[in-house]
Amino acid sequence: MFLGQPPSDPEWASYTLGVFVCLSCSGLHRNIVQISKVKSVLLSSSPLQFMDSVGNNAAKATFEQIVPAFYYCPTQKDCMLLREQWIRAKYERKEFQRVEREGFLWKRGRDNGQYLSRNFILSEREGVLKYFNKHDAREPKAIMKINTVNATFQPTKIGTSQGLQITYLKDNSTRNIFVYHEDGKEMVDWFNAIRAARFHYLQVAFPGASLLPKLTRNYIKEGFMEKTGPKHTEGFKKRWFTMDDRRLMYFKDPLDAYARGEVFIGCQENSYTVLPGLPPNTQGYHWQFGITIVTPDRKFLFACETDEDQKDWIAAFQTVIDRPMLPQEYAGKPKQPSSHYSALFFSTHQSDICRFHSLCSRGLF
Amino acid sequence: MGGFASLFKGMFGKKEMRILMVGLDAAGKTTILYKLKLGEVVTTIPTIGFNVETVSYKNISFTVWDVGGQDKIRPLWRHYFQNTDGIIFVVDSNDRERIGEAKDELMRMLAEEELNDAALLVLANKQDLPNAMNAAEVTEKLGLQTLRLRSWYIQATCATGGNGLYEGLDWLSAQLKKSK
Repeated sequence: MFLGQPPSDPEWASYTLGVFVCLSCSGLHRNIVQISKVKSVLLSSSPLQFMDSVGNNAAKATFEQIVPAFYYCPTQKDCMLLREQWIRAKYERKEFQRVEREGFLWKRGRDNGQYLSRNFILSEREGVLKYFNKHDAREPKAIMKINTVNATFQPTKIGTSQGLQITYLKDNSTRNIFVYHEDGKEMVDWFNAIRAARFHYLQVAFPGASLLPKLTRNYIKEGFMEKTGPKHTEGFKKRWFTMDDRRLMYFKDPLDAYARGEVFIGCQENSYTVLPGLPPNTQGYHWQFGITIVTPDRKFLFACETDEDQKDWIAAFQTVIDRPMLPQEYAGKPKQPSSHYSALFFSTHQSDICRFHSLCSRGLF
Repeated sequence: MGGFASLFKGMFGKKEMRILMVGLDAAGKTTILYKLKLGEVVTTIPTIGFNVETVSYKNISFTVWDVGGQDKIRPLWRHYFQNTDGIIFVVDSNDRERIGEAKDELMRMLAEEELNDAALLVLANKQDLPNAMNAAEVTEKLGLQTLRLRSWYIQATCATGGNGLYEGLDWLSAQLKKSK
């Protein structure tokens, strides 16, 4: 691409990118041979017809979609370092392109567990990840807002090394979908595309913040435990638990689409505690290693199969409880249970929200 | 010169070798030349015309002519053929699309009478790229095994890292000793 005004008769062209370049930059393009191959317009015997279909303006529209306002775009007169890094950022790392990705992934059916090929579209412009059931479907089956999407590789749970669990919030409750692609590279490319889309989204929302840890997150812990209901009188049932940041979710099956319930785990200052063991007189459990989580509203009772499991879960809860709450986390708490299951497992933490609002009104956040 | 004098020169004097380095455009010829000369990776621009440098290695002074490889200036290579002791033919091992074109150029050049006595060193360059063909594959694609009455050698190289370059010169210097 010409840095600055192009001359009327450029002599060099990248025939893979379809752009005319000056002699000096043609050398820089040859350093990224996987991306750009350079030919002389005058000294090449094959005509450079492809240039008609691409050309510098078209390439600019593709490769310079989101150049930050502050970014220094060098001209031909600038030093080699500036020009080289600009070329690499633009063409090699594609830093200034919005993420638009489309392709087929095998998606696990919500009800029958069968994997079917579904067309997925990740659109940074629209800020969504969506998929379509039918090839010619007009309306997507699901639209996932990129600001709530998380993705984490789950080889064991899904049963293939390329298995990716994608979660998003729907009415503030978590929805899971499980996908894979036969080609590992393709799956990792999707994963990174989701990260890139979230990165660009968050960059706008939180300029200057350190965003890398927020792009995707792995679960703090997952596994089976037994649980009982709020009255502590029902028999304990075995459930799959996922500790995702401050959300403790439980599922009947590890691959369920929706959680049966979600518990918000706050911090110590808000009266959350985790204790080994169960209250005296608790009955109906089969596994011996109990855990009690005390929240401002009720106690949650769990039982683990082994003492190692119990220690690991307590440690997982403790890290979350020890971590002070961020203002945003007050807002991100699950509301009343989703309409799918009438779990009596939530607490609204009205007191926390009130406290947060009072802090806000005093201008502390 | 008497036998003793030539032996003496062989032991202490500096021998010279005239090398012509050619290959398709963007194969890495100029990068190789300056990596040998300076030990550094320089950012090059396409060579229109030629670069020439002398490189001293193992008591041999190699005069290396690096000639531009753009399509339309390849016919100019023949102006450099005279008195050439060795040809370095540089191949971009990652460029599978143009390996046939490289073969055509190589074979056309080797058919020239002036180069009958020149040793051929093929450098299978850019081995650092993930999709690079190895030396065996380049040998086959260039049809090197069909060459008769020609001493040739292929060396896998990565010019930016410097890998393989001196191994190539080692072979060329051995050819010089054989012929003299």
